[in-house]
Amino acid sequence: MNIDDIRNRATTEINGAISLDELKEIRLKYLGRKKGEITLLLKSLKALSDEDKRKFGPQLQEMRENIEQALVFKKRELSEEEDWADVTLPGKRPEPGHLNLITQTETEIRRIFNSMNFSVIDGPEMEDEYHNFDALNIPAWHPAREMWDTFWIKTPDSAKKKYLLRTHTSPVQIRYMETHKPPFQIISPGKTFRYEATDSTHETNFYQLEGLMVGKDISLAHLKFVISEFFRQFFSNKNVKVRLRSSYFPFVEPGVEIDIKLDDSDWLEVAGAGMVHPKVFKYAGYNPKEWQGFAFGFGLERLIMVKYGISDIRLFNSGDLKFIKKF
Amino acid sequence: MKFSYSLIREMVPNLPAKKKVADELALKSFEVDGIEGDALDIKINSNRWSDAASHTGIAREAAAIFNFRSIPVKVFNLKKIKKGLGVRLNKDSGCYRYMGCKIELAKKGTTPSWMKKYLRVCGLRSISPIVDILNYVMIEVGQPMHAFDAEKVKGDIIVRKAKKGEKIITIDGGEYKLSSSDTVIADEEKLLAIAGIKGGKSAEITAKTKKVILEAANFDSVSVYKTSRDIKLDTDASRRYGHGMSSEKAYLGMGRALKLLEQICFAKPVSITDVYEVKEPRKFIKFDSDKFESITGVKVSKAQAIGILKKLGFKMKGNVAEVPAERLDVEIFEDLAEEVIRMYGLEEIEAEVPVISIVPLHDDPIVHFKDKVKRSFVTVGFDEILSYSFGDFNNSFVELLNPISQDKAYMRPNLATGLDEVIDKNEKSFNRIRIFEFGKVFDGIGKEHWSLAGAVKTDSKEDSLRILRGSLEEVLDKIGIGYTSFISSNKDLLILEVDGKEAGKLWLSKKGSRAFFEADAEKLMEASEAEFEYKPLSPYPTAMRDLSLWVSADIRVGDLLGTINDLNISDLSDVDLEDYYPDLDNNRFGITFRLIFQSYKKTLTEAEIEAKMGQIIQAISALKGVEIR
Repeated sequence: MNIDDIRNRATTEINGAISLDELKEIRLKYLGRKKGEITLLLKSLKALSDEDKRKFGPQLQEMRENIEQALVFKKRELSEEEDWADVTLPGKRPEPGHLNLITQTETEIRRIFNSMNFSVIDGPEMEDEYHNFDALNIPAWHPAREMWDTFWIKTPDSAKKKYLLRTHTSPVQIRYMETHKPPFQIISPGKTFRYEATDSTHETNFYQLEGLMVGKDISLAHLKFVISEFFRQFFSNKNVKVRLRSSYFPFVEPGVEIDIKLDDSDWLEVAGAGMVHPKVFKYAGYNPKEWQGFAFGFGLERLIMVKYGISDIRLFNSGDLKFIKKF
Repeated sequence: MKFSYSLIREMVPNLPAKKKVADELALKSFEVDGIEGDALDIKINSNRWSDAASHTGIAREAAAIFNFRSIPVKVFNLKKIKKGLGVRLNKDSGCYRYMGCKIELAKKGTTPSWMKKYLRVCGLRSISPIVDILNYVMIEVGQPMHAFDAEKVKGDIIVRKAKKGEKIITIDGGEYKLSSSDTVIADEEKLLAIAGIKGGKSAEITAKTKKVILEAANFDSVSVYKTSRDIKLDTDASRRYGHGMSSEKAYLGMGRALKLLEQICFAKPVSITDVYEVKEPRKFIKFDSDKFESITGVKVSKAQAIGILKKLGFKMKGNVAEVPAERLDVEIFEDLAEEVIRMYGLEEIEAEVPVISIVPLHDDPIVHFKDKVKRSFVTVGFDEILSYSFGDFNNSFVELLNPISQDKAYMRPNLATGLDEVIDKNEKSFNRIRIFEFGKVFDGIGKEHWSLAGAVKTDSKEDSLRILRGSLEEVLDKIGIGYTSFISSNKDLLILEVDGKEAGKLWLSKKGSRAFFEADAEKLMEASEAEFEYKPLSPYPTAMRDLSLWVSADIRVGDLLGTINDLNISDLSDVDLEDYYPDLDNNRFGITFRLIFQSYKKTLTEAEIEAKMGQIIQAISALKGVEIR
């Protein structure tokens, strides 16, 4: 029997088929119930001796299965593709990286202030006492300085200056004014440090953002505009209400606290601000009779916590990738 | 600081309910931390203790807010008392005013219940009638007072600096060793008190005391503050003096104390002395409505402003204000403006668009470089870490004087250590970790620079290093740093060179399959600022050839690439490692390089490419342990 011959012929024909109709013809030719070549061969087995039946039977069956399979594959190939794709398979997600939420937020804040012509200025994290305190009208040996619990740097007794980890981004104001002339408007985001016990709302390492605008007639009303515009954009909420409240920071006079109200929530204290104290201008080498301006500062984490409903400030520095990958 | 609402209301009888008073104080005067029963917990600004850390002070604020008058406290007329108590002030004593008054007690008396109640609300215990009265005067009008048993004082009262090492035992039994910068109250034999901080045991009043010397004084704030810190003794009096007091207040304090002592203990003043040589200067500030409007953006009438200032105790002559003595915080026009705007209502300020000339944006370059680097790392699949700037580093250059704990005592000299810790924390939850940090590291006192570090952890050392290196190459490309090379200097370390200069390192950690790099971000920024020159794409086709090798296990791929590189084959535009696998049976590696040829001038012919391949094959097969497959 020419089994191999039939198999080769059938396979060649199947592979060469270019339409489903042609494939149907091929199927009839070989496997048709009445006249199929292989069908007939299988039927003719009955007439053979037992020995021949045992010899050819399995071979014929195997060939039949091979050809059936070849027909199925060819049919899939010739059929339209979507008929055969399993669309219910789960998606394969890429593994993108994630910016820390602090960075994402800082970037967004910078964008908003850039849009109001504020330039972004950087400054050192290890500061000297003069820029962090004295030049900001925070005298040594006065309890006012206790508002900033400070990490001090160990220096040799012979050192001329005392160094510390900046307790706020405000020293950047002084550094900038020492080298630039008004009018201008700047912000300075960065890492700051406070010596305090950590809990869900207190951290030793955190991020602040400082703003400073100086000109001939810059006022508290301008502060209110800039800060309101900022919060409206930051919270994507046109109805953010902004309230100024009396407060005290040695480097501003008058000094205010800034509260915001989002829809139906309570007033939230979010920033400190005020008109730059004339003494600060003097320290920076400006004539306070000629220039005036406002400064403001806020903690990044606090705003993020309000915006995203995060309740523990310690998550930001935790290095917990499950947290970082969430945003 | 705790205040009694009912005592304030005694001074300003028509005040509205507690909650309303607290709300308005919070907007116009001070933060109110809470209300508990009769107590208002008010956070007095640290420049306002001289006038506002007292019930009369808060009453004045409240009266001004709600437009009432406050009733002044009743005082004893000090002018009626015979002068002559012996008090001497040394020149360098740091005492601005010292009033001493000797009294005789006719009766022991008892502390009235109303006084006990107010003391309790303010967090003070009732001790004895005299002590209670003096404490009450302190919370009522803000003047700290002290009492000595007159029979235990020998001769004059002397205010002087302590002798170095001089010791005093205070009334609570504490023993303090003083230095020559500390001010003390003494008599001719012994110390009586640490000035402005605490009384001594030596002249303490007792139940048997019949004659008392009362003290109402003012001391240099810095001196009291320093002493209090040096000897670690913080008291109600030291807090008040430390913030700064007006010498004028002593007179009120003494008058008030005598009045209450007369009423409650039937005390009779015997003699008084007031040493007050340099009077505090009176302060006058002109109120300028135009300047006010310029600062606040609010227009107020002169009459409105004058009305507000008068209510706050300023004496007005036209638009010139005389500042009340106890308002140490008011020195310049801006201070006066603050008084008016806060009482007028900061919430009344309307937002106003500033009209300015645009200043070209001049963001610090590092801000944008940082952005670019961070975005690039995220694109190649890295997560951004921000970690603590201090920790337990044995190679740190900077130590904290007052660390929060010993394992957080050093400023980080690198970022990689922090990333290693992050891997420790996360490796249980993630098979593959790819992280980076861009942050400050500290090189010395007052010296710091921006650093950039990355880490990869996978199941295999080589994978970790290759992913890290490849990602870094991609990032360096993206941020415009063209000329980089990785120089292998020892087994587990590569030096990153940018423009021929060392800028960082890549290495394998001894712990697990962790690879790290750290580079000086400021050096990278410098290199990225160099001009980027665009080379147009070649219009001619590329040709690829694979080169498959068996190499013995001691051969490093970097050396093979170096050999090819050294040939300087023209038009060889790239060599990729296409395949790399161990053949363990034969202790060798199978390697396939894919070489890409492309010319800018023409289509390379088969013969030209073969010639170049021939050169490469010759050089490579000449190496020991390499066999062309």
